[in-house]
Amino acid sequence: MSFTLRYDKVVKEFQTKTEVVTALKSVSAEVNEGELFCLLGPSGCGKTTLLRCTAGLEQINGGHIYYGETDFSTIPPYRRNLGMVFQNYALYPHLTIFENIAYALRIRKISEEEIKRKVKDILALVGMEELMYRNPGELSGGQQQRVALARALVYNPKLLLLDEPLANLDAKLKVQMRGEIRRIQKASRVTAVYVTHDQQEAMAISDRLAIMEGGLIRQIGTPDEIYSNPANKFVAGFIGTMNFLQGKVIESNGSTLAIEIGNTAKKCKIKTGSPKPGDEITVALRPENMTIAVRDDKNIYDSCFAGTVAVIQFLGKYIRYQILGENRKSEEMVQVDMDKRIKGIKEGSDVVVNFREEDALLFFDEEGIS
Amino acid sequence: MKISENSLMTKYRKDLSSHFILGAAVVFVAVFVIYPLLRVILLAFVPNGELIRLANITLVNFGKFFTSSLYMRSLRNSLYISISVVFFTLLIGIPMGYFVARVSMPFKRLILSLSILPIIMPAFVGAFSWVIMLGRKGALRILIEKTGLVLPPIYGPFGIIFSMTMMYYPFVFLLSEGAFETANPALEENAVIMGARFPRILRTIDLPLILPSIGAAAILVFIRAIDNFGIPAVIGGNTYVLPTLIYFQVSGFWNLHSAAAISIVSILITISALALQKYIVNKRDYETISASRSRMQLYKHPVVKIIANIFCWSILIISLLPQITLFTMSFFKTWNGMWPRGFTLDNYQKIGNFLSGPISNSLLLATTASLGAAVIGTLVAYLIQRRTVKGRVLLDYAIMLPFILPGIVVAVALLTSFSSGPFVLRGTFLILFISYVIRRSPYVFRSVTAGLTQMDPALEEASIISGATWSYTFRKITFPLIFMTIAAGTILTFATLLKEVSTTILLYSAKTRTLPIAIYDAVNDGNFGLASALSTVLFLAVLLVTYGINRYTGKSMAASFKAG
Repeated sequence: MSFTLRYDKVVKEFQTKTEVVTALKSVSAEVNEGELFCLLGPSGCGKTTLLRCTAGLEQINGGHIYYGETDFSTIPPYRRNLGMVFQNYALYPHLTIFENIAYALRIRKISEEEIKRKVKDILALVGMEELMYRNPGELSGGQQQRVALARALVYNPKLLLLDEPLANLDAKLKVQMRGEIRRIQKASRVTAVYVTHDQQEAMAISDRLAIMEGGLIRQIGTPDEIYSNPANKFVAGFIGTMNFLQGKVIESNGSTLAIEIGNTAKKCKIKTGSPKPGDEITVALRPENMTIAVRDDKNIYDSCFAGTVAVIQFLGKYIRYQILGENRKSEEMVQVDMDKRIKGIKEGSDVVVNFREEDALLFFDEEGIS
Repeated sequence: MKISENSLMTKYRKDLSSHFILGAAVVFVAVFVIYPLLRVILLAFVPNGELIRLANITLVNFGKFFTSSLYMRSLRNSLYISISVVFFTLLIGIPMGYFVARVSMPFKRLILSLSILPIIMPAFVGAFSWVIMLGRKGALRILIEKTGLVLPPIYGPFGIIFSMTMMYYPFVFLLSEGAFETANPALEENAVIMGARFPRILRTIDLPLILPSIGAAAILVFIRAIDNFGIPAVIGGNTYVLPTLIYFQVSGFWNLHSAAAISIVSILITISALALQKYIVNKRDYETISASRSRMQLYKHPVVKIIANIFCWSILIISLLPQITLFTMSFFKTWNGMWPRGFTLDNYQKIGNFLSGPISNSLLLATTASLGAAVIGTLVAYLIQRRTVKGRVLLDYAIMLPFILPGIVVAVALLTSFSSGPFVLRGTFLILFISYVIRRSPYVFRSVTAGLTQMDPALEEASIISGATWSYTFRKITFPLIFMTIAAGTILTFATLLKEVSTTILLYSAKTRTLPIAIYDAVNDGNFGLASALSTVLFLAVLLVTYGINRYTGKSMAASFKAG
């Protein structure tokens, strides 16, 4: 597989007044040429640090960052020839849009005609030709975003870095701009690393993404792989809504597992690990993969979860039922999405929940850490 | 793509310019701030005339504070005068601030602008004009004593406290006015709804809310009062204070060791005052008062309006009497009794004699030193804000330290370090230049620090990423964006340097005499007409520059002094 950017056991530590904080513990990843690669994770997971290390704005304390054959770690940021879009766009307020974009070209001592041509071309690409002689302060957030993108791309960098570029836009513009960013990135054929904490945004925009937590990459994959096949409990819980139920292994024959969960027994396929009978197991289930029914004397003995409906939410295409278990702890609430309202179920109704065996994702407890 | 990448690789060498330039600023601070201050501390513990050696260490220089009645009196006077000045400036400044902020009255902007006029004169000039008005045959004294009141003599503690109060109350007025105006009206309205009456609101809401501003103003006044050399030098008579005592030790006996010991005592007092202020203000945990958009309801009751107007305008008129007096005096030969006598233009014609000497010296020094302060202040601010260097905290203290040091102490520090040995700078322009730069760099430093904290570092990072070196980024991005703050700090520095006395007084020589020193000499020679004419010229020059900054930065005149 060809790749352009490779992180090899990257370590980054910060010295605070009292202690050393390890922001990146040992991060390894490969970014393919021309792809849009997202770094997704909760705040403090190290995603922005990794981006800033790529740019050279922070020095790494261990490992290497390679671009092709070159070891980036030894090259100062102004020689890495990459483009970056900052969270607040960082447009130079004292320069016009034209001069903002021409800035990097002037450093490269390019002729004035060439500069004009390049700036015009890139502004055409981002759809901003008319506003060339305005000041950044006169532009809307979305327009500033386009200019920032144009400024980062005008000198044909080999790598484009984007640090939460949509964080300051309103919800509607966000959706529009993420399409635009992907279009422009594909059109300019630049390899892009994109940092965000918004999972929807990451899933929508990226070719592949890395889920980060606590200075580590927890999973790398396409959006589809990560949604339907999370590698661990953290990723499963971080992406989308997920129900976690506790179960116990009854029997194992290597590839299939008999588990006891709630009042029922299920047979599930295992992908990794070799659990023994008696082991605790976590079963992860998407709300749309569960069913709900009014509790009666029969189905109570064949359900994975029984409880009382606490809230029924209308969420457009589907109805979400939030069900409190017997011991009424809200953190153990189960969410079930159904296409329509189920007759006879109101808030306060006693219900049972069930699922199909092939939809279950199994996690063994020690797997949460790997 | 591949080719351009290679050409980029060779174009940039490792960028050392930043280390070199920022390093030079650090060296300057080390040599001219830290080293002289260390010398002061060392000299203070060695007897006069002895070398700095372990064997010579003694407390004899400090012992004089327990044995010499002159020392004891000076220390007592300094404390007593400074504390009194703080008390009286608060007494005048806070009500005036409250009235202007909260009472509906005309000409508020005018009041704010006029109120800074006392600050922009050399302090001793104010004192000497009070001598004309309140001296033994002063016009104002004659008027007052006709009513049967008895005034203490202007020479002595009363005169010093009165002159300083009239000079420094604007700091309290401007700071408390600002705080009263920006306080959130909802807090006060809430108290009204809950049934509180005016005195309770004032006591429980308004005053506590503006306490940080009052604390800042009080410390500003205290430092200025205890630093002030000019006023006690002109009207102190036998009333010595620490700065005049230092002057006495240096110019009378060339005893730098005693001067160093007195300086240390003076610094310790200032530091304790700062610590006390911090303690009082920090003891209460405040939410930051955000400037609220809604404005406070103004008091419109006619009685309140009359009281407010009378109070504010009387204070203003009294505090502007020195300017009026000087201007009048500058056209007369003498002013003993009710009216000035002997109208003349001689005083202004004599100014010609000062053009090539003191006036051009002052202009030259103020210009070069304010530019020097701009460079040092800007670079150090940049270094502290943008680089993670070791010893940042130390550098921060080092550059701000001269801000709280009495001017005369700075002079002593430089004399202890550069009046013998390999670098003899005594009597040169250079030593004045250096003293001005280190004393005023904090002005630019603070101004630029504020500018840099408001500027997103991502702007510079964006420049670096797009291929610019440090020096290119600094020239094209950082400097243009902080230029306004540098300029504001520099011009304010220029204005204050034109009237500098307390450092100059120990460092000037016949060749390097400045305009304020020339005025000081004229006053001491009893040549009041000439002194008044020179003061009027100086006053107008400083006023013009100050007005210029404010037109340029778009701030009101008052606003720039709240900061400085």
